[in-house]
Amino acid sequence: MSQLYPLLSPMRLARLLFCLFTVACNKPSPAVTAPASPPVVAALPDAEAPAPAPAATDEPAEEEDLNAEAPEQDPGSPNVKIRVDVAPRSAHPVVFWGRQKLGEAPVTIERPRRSGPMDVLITATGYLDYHTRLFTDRDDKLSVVMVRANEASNMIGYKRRPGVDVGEDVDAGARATSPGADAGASTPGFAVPAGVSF
Amino acid sequence: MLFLQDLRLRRARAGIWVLFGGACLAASACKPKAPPTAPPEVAAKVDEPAEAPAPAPIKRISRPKSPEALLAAASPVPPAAKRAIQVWEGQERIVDADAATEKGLVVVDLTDDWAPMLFEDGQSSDGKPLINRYRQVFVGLANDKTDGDGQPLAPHQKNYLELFGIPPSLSVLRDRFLADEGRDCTGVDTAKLLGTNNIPAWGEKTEKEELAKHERRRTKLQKAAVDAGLADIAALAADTTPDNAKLAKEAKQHMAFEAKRIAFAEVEKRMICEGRMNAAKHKTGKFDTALRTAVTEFQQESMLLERTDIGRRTLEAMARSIGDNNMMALRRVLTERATHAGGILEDGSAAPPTKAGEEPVSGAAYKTMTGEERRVPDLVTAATDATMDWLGIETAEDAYAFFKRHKASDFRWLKVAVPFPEKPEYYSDHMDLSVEIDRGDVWYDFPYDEKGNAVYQPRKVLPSLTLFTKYRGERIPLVKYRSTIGGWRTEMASDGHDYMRYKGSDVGPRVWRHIVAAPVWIPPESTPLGSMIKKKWVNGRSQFVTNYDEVGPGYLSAYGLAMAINVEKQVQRDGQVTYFDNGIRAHGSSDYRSLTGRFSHGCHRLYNNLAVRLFSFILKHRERKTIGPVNLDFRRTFYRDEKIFDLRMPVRGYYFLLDPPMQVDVLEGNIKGKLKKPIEGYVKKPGEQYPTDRPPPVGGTPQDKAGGAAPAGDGNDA
Repeated sequence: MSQLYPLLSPMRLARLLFCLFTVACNKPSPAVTAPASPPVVAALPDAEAPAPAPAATDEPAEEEDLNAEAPEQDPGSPNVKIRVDVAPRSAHPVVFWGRQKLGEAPVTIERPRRSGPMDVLITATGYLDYHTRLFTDRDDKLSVVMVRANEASNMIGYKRRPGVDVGEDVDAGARATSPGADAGASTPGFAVPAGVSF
Repeated sequence: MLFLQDLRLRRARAGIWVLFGGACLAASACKPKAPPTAPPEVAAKVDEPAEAPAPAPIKRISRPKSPEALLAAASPVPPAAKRAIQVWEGQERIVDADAATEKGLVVVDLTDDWAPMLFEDGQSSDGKPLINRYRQVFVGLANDKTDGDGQPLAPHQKNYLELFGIPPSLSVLRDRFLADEGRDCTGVDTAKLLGTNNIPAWGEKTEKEELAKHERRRTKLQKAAVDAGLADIAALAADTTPDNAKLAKEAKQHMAFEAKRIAFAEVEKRMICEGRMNAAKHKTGKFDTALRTAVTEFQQESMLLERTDIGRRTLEAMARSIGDNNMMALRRVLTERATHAGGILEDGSAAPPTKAGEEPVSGAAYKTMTGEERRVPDLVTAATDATMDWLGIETAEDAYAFFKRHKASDFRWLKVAVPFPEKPEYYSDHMDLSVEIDRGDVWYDFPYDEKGNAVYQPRKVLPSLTLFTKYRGERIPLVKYRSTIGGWRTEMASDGHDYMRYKGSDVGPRVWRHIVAAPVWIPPESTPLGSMIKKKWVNGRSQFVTNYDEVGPGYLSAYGLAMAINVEKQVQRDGQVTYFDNGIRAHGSSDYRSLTGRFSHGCHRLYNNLAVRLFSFILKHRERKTIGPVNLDFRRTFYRDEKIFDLRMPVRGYYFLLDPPMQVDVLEGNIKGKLKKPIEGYVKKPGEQYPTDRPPPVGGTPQDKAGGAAPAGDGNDA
């Protein structure tokens, strides 16, 4: 989870919850840089109501903590070792680098240091092909979890198919598109926002 | 070729968005000098006769060299690392580089291993090496050895990345000079080439239609000329009889088009003559892939800020001799080398040059300790001239001779010892530098009317970034670069639909604490996934891969080759100082066309090479600490076309900490139109169908603010 959402550190999560509370209490955060006036996009007879400001907007985005890379054990070694572990191992996943089969996972690859990234493909029967990148700047470890076709609906980028995916357990927070996006509902239109003059 | 294929794909996508953008934003962007209803540049110039004559051969005026800067020939010859050259009265001598430095000369590095200071390896406070990973990629790209991932290029493959901030190495230039030496393109008729201002680059279908239309018009006008008792279409065009006014106008348009076709034939000749296009793969008269690729390579090699159409500058470059174009490339390369070697930046951009006898422009001058007013000098031009002088290169022939007497392996050690112009007295190791970003003319009004028609929003003053130094109480501008601000952009919301959103550029005092070499851009989750994958040749096989072009690190990254982070200093109630990051950066950009008048998502873009110059200069003249590669460990897994892709970014970039931070002031600019504040949230786009009445909320992370969601192939970055 922390890998997928590195911005949601416990500290940030706490801050986000605090901000949600603040918004609920209608107290704008002093750190907001947006103008204090109400949103300019107001309802027109056939237009949208002003969208509620997302809580995250009110969150003061402090500078990211900058952690320099941890030192390596042997930074001068001519080669680096990259270990790729893939779950489930029982699926006998195979790692390919272009035409070259690197082996069945788990596999440790040795490459010249700083010889450029490797775009690898991991395949396993019954699972979707998995494309990832290995870096040769330093020793590295990568864990991959293979995904079956029927498990993909929770992933970013998956588009629901009307009448096919309905009713599936979808974690809306993990989706890039809203459930209604492909449902065929449509609102004609373009409406000129209030406050806009021509 | 893979790179070119990728580039072409990007361009094809960009072309679609250019068309879309043209429809959507024509009114709001870019063409300050065009009247509101002006058609595109191509059409506007149809009736204009091209006037400029063929350019004269380039001959640089060398100045007399001071014998005081001449060093004795070193004997014995020092080891390669301590070797430099000087050319005196046509004779080249090897001198001791250390002696040159002691004498106050600048040793300009001409080796193939050169990279700007920004990409140099550093050391941690405890003396451990901090490897600047992009340096190796930069050098590989400059030498046409590797691609942007550091993977080997195919033999004879070229990168042509000067436009993207990576000048070719001297060895690459040497190959270019020597390969071109025997070429004679005098058969290309430069008068015909310059008989038009622009040749539009149509797609196959449009080209066919336009050519057919042209022929129909020719037939019609020929008949009309005969009917009017005139000799030909030219006579019809010159006819001032009121009854023939309409026909005369049409005849002029026909002739303007004809001039383009004539120039087109010369372009074909020139591309074949230069060895860029295989005539067997080209169909005469067609702007096909072979010609398009050749022209693109020519434009990139000549560092022409033109794309798609063959514009005036491209035509002028094609009208020059190959030697002159190569000479200009050599000068540009030496400019970068000299600028970085001298730790200078002033290029005359802070104030336009004045005519002889005119007073210096107010604000672009400074007072010396003795109270004398002096103009901020153009040190970059002077240093480049001096470098060329001491290399003995005045003409293209001199350059050929230079590259002939130096074999490729010489560029493992070659340096030149040059007396640079004296630096102004405001220079020091820790200069009181500050930046001012002027947003120029700003429109908050929605760029469409109630009928969905684009509204013209002209901007006379475009955004700029000026670097100042403070000296003896005076604020002295050193350089002024064109930049960008945010504006109305298309963005994909969480419902998967595209909306418009005003992506503003914050106003007020900010600071730069961090400068980042080879930064990565974290795309918001709203980034359309179509642009996040691409096909690539991987170890002998073509396969889909995650597209790292826009995320970086690299010259195509949304943040370009380098960036500085705008943060707002905030003092908390307990006195603690924190820094607020609203996602706005000043950064390099490969989308160089955007710097001619388009909008960013809020960031202040710079040409990549200028960003590298600027930040290298700041690092050289400010107290700072090298942090080195900063951890990110970012990973995003996504689904696309029944495949799973990982986007992995282990590091954010190579960081430097400015201590103390540098002051940045973002000026509000001139607010045009009715609205004095930007509209918040998403606004529906004209003509789009939406699933709900209410647009979804916008994200609020720095990535959402700065990056926005570039529609697939938009070619836009932050």
